[in-house]
Amino acid sequence: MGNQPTGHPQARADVLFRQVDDEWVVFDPAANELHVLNLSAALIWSHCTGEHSPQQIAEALRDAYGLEREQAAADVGAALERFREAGLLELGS
Amino acid sequence: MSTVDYLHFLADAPRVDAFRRAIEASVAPGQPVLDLGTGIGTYAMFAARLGARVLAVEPEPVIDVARGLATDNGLAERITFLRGRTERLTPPERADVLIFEDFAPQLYHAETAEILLDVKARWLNPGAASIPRTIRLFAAPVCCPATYEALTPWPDDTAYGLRVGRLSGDLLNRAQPAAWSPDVLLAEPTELARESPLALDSFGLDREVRWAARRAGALHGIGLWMDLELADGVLYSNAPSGRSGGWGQQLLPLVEPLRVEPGDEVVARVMTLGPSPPRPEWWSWRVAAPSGEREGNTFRGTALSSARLRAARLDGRPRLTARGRQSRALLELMDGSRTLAEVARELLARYPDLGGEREVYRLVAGELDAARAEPSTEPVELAAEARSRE
Repeated sequence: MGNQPTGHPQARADVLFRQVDDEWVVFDPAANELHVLNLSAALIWSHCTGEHSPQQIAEALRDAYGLEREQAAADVGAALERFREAGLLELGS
Repeated sequence: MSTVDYLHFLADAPRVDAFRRAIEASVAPGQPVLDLGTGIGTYAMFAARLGARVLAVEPEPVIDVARGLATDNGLAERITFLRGRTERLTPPERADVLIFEDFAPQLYHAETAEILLDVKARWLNPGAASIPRTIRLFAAPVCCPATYEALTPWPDDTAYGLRVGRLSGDLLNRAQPAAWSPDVLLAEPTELARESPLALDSFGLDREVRWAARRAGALHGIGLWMDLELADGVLYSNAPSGRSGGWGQQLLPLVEPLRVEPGDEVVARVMTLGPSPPRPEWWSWRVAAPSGEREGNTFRGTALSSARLRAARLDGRPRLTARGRQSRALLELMDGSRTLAEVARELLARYPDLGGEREVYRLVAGELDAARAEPSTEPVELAAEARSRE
């Protein structure tokens, strides 16, 4: 399987997440990098526990923002791709 | 630290006496010894008294007190005092024994790791010994109402009519010092780690531990403490004992307590996080009991604002403020040709709106304090010149 996504994205255990004023930040201590998330990206990130599929996360996004199904799926896909590129998710998740 | 702090240290007889016994067991006459963070020079004098040649390093002005004490005890000739941080100094010789006690109470600390790695590489002979020789880090689930209530003194997050819930959020994501008695323990302590100060290649922690609660209580967090093996048969424990002194204990608090019953399994994952080992900059802890799960980390306990985050971005373009430009001008004036009074007058002439002499001298004193971190810079030359005029 290697690095192929399994369908249930999981945040790396050592990556930290918190709110700062009206922004949400993900801090990668290994890379010493901060990633600033908007509210919808923060909602997606908070579902990256290894227990939710992208479809389930998209449903949560739809519920929160009243988006069309296709739009929510596209937003979740783009956010997860960004998290993966930044190395914030467990490999293969 | 003030002199009063060092007096408190000296009054901590169990700790000082344990180090004295360890030094007597580890140091031979003529041996080169490095006392790192010498403070008032107590351990340096213990080693010098045994006939060792001691390098005593200390970045703070208290080193002048240490020099005086060494003279008072007839040991000045055996001790070379160096003011500064070891990573910025050049060692005059390598030592066979390192004496070091400036550990964080929870052991893992980025600055400690960096200091010790540099000391091992540049200040010590191969095979050098260290006091302490090994450090064991222990953990246990704790019920500590007094410590916890001090972090959450306002149950409704309101104080004097002000909303202060944000403060509790910060405090509950930091390691908090404590001095407990053994009755805080909800389970038998577990050894989390065992480290040698001179084997720090993997100075960091990622451990999952499990305990069986031996009594009911509110689980307020994970208690941590160090036991130090200073030398053969010389141990110093910081386990909860009801005694103050030493390094004490630390609480990794839960944002809300968890109720535990006798026999309940408590599982915790405790991690240090940082750029890569051995730089443990942050702590993270997750705790699970049958009644729920909690997590905390010191990143959440750090004061941050959106403005500061934006200012720290690598693609930001910093620009000096008016105060920054004044500081730059001040530093450029300290070129060795002017007295401090001349520097201050010149600065006031250039920046008449600085607010008068008092403000100028405050600015000069601030920059001098910063410059004093380097012992070979201006203040030392100024001191020599002042003496020559006497």
